[in-house]
Amino acid sequence: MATQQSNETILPCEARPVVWKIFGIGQSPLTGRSTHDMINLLLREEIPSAATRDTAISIVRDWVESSGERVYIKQDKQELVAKLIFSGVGNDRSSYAIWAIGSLERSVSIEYIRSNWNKKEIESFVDATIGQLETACSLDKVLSATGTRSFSGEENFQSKISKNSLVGEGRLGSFQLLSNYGFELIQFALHPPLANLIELVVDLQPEKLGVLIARVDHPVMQIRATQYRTAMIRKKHHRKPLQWIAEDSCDAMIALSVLHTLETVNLLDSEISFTKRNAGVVYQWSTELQAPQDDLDNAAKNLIVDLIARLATLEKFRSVEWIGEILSCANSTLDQSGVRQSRRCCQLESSSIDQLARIAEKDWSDNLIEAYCDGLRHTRKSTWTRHLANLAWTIHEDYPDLAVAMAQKALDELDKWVGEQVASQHLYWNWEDWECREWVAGLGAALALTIGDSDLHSWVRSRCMNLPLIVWDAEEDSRTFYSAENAAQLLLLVALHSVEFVKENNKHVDGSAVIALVEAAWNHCEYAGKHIIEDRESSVVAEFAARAAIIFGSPTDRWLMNQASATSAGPRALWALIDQLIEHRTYATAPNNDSDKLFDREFEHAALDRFGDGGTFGFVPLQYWGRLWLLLRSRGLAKKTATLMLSFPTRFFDRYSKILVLDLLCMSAETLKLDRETMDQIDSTYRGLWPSVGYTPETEQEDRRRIDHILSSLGISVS
Amino acid sequence: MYLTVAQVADAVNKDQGYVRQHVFRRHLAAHRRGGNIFIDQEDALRWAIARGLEFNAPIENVATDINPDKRIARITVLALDELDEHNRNLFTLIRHRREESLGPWAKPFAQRWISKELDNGLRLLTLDCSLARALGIIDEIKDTRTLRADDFEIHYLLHSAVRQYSAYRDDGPNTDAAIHSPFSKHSANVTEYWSFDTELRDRWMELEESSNSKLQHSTRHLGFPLNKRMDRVGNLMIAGAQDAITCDVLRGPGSSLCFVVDVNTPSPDAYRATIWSTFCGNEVARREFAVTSRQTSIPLSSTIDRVGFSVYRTSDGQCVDMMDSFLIMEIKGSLELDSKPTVHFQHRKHHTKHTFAPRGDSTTFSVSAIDGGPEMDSAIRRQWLDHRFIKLEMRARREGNLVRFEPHEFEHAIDHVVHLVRNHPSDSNEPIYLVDPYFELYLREDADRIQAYLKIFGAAHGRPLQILCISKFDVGKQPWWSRYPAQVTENVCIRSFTKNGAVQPSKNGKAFHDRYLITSAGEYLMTNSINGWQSNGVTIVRLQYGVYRAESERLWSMSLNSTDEPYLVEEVS
Repeated sequence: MATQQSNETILPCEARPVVWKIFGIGQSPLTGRSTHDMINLLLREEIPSAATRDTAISIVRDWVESSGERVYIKQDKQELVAKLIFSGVGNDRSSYAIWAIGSLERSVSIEYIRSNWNKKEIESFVDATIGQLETACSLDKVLSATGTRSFSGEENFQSKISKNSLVGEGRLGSFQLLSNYGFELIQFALHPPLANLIELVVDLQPEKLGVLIARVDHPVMQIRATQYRTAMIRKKHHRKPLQWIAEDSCDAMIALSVLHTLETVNLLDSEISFTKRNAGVVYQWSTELQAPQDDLDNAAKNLIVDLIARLATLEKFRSVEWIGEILSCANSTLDQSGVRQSRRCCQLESSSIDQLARIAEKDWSDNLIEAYCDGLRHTRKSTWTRHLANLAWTIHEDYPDLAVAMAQKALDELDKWVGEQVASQHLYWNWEDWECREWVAGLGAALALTIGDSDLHSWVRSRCMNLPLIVWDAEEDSRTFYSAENAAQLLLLVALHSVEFVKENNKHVDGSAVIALVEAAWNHCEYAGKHIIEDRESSVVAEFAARAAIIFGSPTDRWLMNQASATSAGPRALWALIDQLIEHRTYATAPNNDSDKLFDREFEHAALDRFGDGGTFGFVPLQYWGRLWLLLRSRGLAKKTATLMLSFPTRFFDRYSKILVLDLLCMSAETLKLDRETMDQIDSTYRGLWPSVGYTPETEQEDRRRIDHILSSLGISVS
Repeated sequence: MYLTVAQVADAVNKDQGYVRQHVFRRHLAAHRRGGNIFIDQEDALRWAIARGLEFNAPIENVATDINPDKRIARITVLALDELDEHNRNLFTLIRHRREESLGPWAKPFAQRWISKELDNGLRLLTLDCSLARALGIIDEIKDTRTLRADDFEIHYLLHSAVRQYSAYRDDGPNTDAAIHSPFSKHSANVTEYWSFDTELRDRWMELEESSNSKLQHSTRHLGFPLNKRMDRVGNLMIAGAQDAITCDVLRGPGSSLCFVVDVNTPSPDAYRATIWSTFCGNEVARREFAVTSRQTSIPLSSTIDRVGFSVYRTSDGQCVDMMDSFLIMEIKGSLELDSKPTVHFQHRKHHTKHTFAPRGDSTTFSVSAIDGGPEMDSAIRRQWLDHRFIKLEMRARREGNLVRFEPHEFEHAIDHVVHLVRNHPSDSNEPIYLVDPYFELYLREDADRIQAYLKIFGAAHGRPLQILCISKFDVGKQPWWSRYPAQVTENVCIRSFTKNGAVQPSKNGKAFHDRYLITSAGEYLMTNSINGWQSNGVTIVRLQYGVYRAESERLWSMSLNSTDEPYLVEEVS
């Protein structure tokens, strides 16, 4: 403090009125002038005496420090400079005056403003500041590489991180991208005076946040403003960002409201899981809610429901488009796992679809379908059409024509996507991704609504025949063939899923048509397996076809037996046939155990010819053979399959396949004479999976109990 | 066995009209399929004998012993569109195979040709049809030298004689066939009509040169790598898949091979197969057997690194399929994360921003086929790889294609270069190029390398020696040879290629990086610049591609002191 006093007192009087201009010009990103230049220039102009001038220059230079191209007022000089700047600025609301205040840290300037300015002065300052921020945004003078790690030394920073380049997938998507990956841009790349001024505006007149967001047309500025505001209010009013959605709100404001609301949902969820794991631990709550007295789960759910309800208050087309956009983007904030759909995603989707159904009830038109699609299309994900299909299925009983139009649109978009992706050789889908599974199910429902009197097999056939799927294509252009083959698998899955929806739609399901579809699927898998490296006979299509055959195809025993001996149904299909058949028997009105056993023995015998010595099968098909032998209780074959699997290098094994091998060996040991080799195999596999000192994952505890029980009943001790 | 009208006409040495007349008058029994006529060879023979005609049966019928109606064909024609002239056939391939192999999604044949316009005036025409129709089209081409493909007329210049051979589906060392089978799962019978149109071949080579590798991509649907087989330009090739049986060899459980065929119960005497496998050049298994079951298991006594099989038709001993391939023994890779999540923080007082990026994890992986196998196999493979390396290097040395010099053998290395330079004929107009990025312009008088350079200059005396380097030319300094008599360098010209400020140079800013010597006898890659031979040694390898000569000629042709060139080229006098 003593130093401050002395610096202030020794700064020549002629220099004092110039200080605010030095920082106003030097700190403005619009002038292109540096603070150091302005110190020299302005003080030379104002102070005629060389000695005094040099002293003044030296003093002012001592107030600042540099980091790269940026110049900051030193922390311990902030108050001193603030006094000089505010006394110099007075009622001036010019560009330089605003940037001079922006050069001060927000905490310093806010204190001064609140203590010294009246409401009118604050209003005029806020208005002028928004104007300056708007100009900086329109000139795209908002970011610089200084202070960033990723971009420092980047020659073309300005062109790479221009305003136009910061566009993600859609309005919401852009902000999600910044929120997830733009930390450096938001916190470091933003010119400090800009950041200070944004926060000042939000602090001084939070009610003008909407105006600020609407006028500063730069995503980094916009998200900085709302992040700051959210940080201020979340602890007291976690639902406040919902109120940013209003008829007169700009798109950016709505997108940011959605983003911060979804982030609050995530925070609540993480607090729920934290409190579950750490009961009694004092926790820094992120909102005004605290467990256990408050129901955090319900609060999170209400946020989602109310978010959609709030969006529904917008103009009809805008509302539908926004709901579409949330459906397509929200899970990248709400769901990080990708393995299965999160509970919150489910809630959001069902709230959205319910809301859309209510809009459909009032007044729906073709233009609304387009608006909905425009919203959904904001991501590049192929799966966006599932939301169209889901809505169609939800409303199909009440508004069948509208539902059919939507379903047809979803299928048309599928056809279009398949055509484009095959042409570019990039068609790919991942069954492990829950969105993909939901997508296929949704398209299955859409197909059920539109199929009319034609059969599903014809639907698949007409599409596959137009894909490059014949043997010439496989030989001439393997990449395109691979893409087309992926497309065929997808179309088959859609058709197979559709059977259930056809039945739900109160239409007759012709068993023979289902069988034709199933056989087409297996024929395709067998054919494709000859031309691509991947094992198509163990594909998910083969399994779904088998299950569909049992559930909807009413297959005869003869047909089933033929599949066991024919080559088209691969091991996964055979396993799924028996697995589904066993489930089917469970619900049979008149079970016949003897005939079932006889059937199983015949099936095993027929499949045995296919299996041979098992030497031609890879590791994955062997797993399905193994699972089949387990179901059929084929002890000899179980031992053989386990031995074959164990002949593969260890890198092939995951934990599941090791458990399978143990199951197979245990089953064979139940009746066959336990030889030394089997004992060793059981011992090494068991120890590899569950060492005596170690942890058994929750998902494997049931498996371990079962295997331990068998081993103890056989008198085998391994652990 | 069925013959086309053209084949019967060839067999009896009459024109096709003669044969057609006899068919029309029912003197010769014929079968109509679609718009085409086929004659059983037995009937044709009887008919010829009855008329006293000499009957020379075709070497092997294109249609072989299969019903042409049960086979499907794809005809692909690569044609050259020429202004004001007809389209000319660059290559025509007719592939045929069993109909059922098409796959479950085949659609009925379109009646029209599919035409696709490619770059450089090329056009690819495709027609899927029955083999019967394809054979008719072949006859039409042979008769009229023209193919009418809907709106296009393609002209052929084919020799009337036909050549037949087998094409197998691999390029293993035991396969002598020049042409590989166009079928991925089968070997093929190939019938080929040749063209000896050199002008057309030259046109194709021009196109090849000008299109870089785009031509290969755009003609991939042709089904034949014409860019690699220029000798086939203008030809018409018929390839029939040997698909009566489909065979493959798989790795069996444990240590065994499994030979599999796609038919459930092959006729016991129809085919015999030979399967072989080796490890480090030693034969591990070679077994001949009758193909009687879908799977034949062959036990192996050790790891293998190469496997192959051949299948013979018992009736005529014809090899119908052959395959030979080396196995991938090991795949290695590494994965390294640049950093763990970066921590950003700001100094509370000084505003300076800091980032802390902890070093990321790295991992390497290796998947080995010998993993888990006998340890001895790894040792054998290691020794075999050593042996192979030594053997190959010795051969290269014996043939004068590779010489290594250790750092202490600097004198010998220079003598070797001098020897190579001396072998450049004195009456040759071609200059000798010595390309050494770090050729030294400025050296102290006592430097060893001056003597080395002088030796090379002396060896080249009387012939132009052109030296290319990227050493910076300093106007204020005299190069070391300026201290020596002018005759030492009277045939030597040195040019320096440095970054040109006016023009964006290549990525690293250097004109060249490799070091090499070009004489009329060959081009020699040097693994080090001469200034590094004393510290690191050098290996000099003779190459045969002509790439470096082309590179040095291109560089030398650049204008001196021009700002328009990618590099500033200065001549050092």
